[in-house]
Amino acid sequence: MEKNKSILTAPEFHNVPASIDKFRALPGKEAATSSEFYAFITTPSVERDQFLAKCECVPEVNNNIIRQKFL
Amino acid sequence: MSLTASISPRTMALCGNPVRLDITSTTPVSYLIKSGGNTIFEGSGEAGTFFVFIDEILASILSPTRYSGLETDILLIPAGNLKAYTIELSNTGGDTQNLSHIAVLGGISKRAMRHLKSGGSNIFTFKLMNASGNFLMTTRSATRIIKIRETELRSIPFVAPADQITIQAANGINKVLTTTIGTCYALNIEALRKAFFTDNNILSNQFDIVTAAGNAVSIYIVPSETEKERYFLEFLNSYGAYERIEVTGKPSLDQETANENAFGVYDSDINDYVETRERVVSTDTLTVETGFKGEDELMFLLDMLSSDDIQLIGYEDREIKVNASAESLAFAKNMTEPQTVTLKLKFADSEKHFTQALLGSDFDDPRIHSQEFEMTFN
Repeated sequence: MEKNKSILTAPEFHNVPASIDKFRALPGKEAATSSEFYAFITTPSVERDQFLAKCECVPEVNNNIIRQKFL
Repeated sequence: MSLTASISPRTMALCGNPVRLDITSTTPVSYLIKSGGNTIFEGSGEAGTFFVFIDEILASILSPTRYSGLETDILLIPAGNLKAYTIELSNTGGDTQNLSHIAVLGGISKRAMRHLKSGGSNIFTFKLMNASGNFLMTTRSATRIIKIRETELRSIPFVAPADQITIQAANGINKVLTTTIGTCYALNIEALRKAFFTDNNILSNQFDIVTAAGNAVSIYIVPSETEKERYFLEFLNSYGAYERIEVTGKPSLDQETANENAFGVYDSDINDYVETRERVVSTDTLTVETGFKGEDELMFLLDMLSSDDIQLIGYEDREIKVNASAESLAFAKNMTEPQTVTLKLKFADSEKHFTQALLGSDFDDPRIHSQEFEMTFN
């Protein structure tokens, strides 16, 4: 039986300053620091899922590896 | 007159597997095992050829390093995971011999040991000191691909197989780590990710570890589900490294109570015996679900189940030492889709006094709360 062994990475951002700007557009996050953004984006939460839903995802597929890159 | 001795495996050995000292002497011989200038064992033997296993002696000089997760250096040095030691031998005929060797914390399965031995190899040449393979001391995976949930990141020890290790996060973005071959380090994955975030403005969750021999291993940080309740089991793996495994869902607590120790106390007012008892000792047992685990995580789970040091983290805001067992692993051999495993976590401490979890926030300086909240008072 063929088994699905694809690997989906956790959210990735390759232009952090632009992503922090988007994060600061969220209510109450106007003065957020990059450390706060890091803690937010590396911790699973409903708020993170909602934020990611607003970002454009450009997945990079290499064999069975799928890198979830967000813009 | 002659004295010859050797240690097997040569150069380096895991203290969880047999380490054999072979001695041949024409007269009675004595030997001292020394580490860090201290004698840790003295032994002797008659003339002739004999051997002793010294792995349990070596285990006493090694100790695992447990990190808090707050370390900021990318490369950490877990001093207790690897120790150099010497064996000084002398016989009554005046012959002497000194042997130098390195002991490393951990062990591999007997099956793996037999397999490697039949191929003329050992765990160091095959894996731990192999610059072209997965040399990291994790039991998550033995392949070139290591998947780690974002909530399970811990530093992974390794014995440096090369003097330069390059970590690639993306095309052209990498960090070069300089190491000393044969020295034990721990790769702090969280600090590595944060360093790329700070220095290179990227948040990467793929790290390719490259040595002069090529691409050795890739680490993929995979997402964790958003869960209402999340606990962690931090355990000592077979290679002597602490790793984390996430368990989710609401745990159920049960208590096993010891037989009550009742006895009679004489009451002169009524001229009879009144039954009384000592406080009853009970042991808490927590039943949790691992959450869905794939086939590749099963061996990791089995390693956790056989660990001698498992801490439950996130329950009552305290670390609790537990002994874990699985209710059933019957499906394991034919696993075709992710399954959740029910774990029983028996608390290591039995209790006869019960008090609430004492939380630091309730015992700090009093704080003032009012409708007009003002930080001046806090």
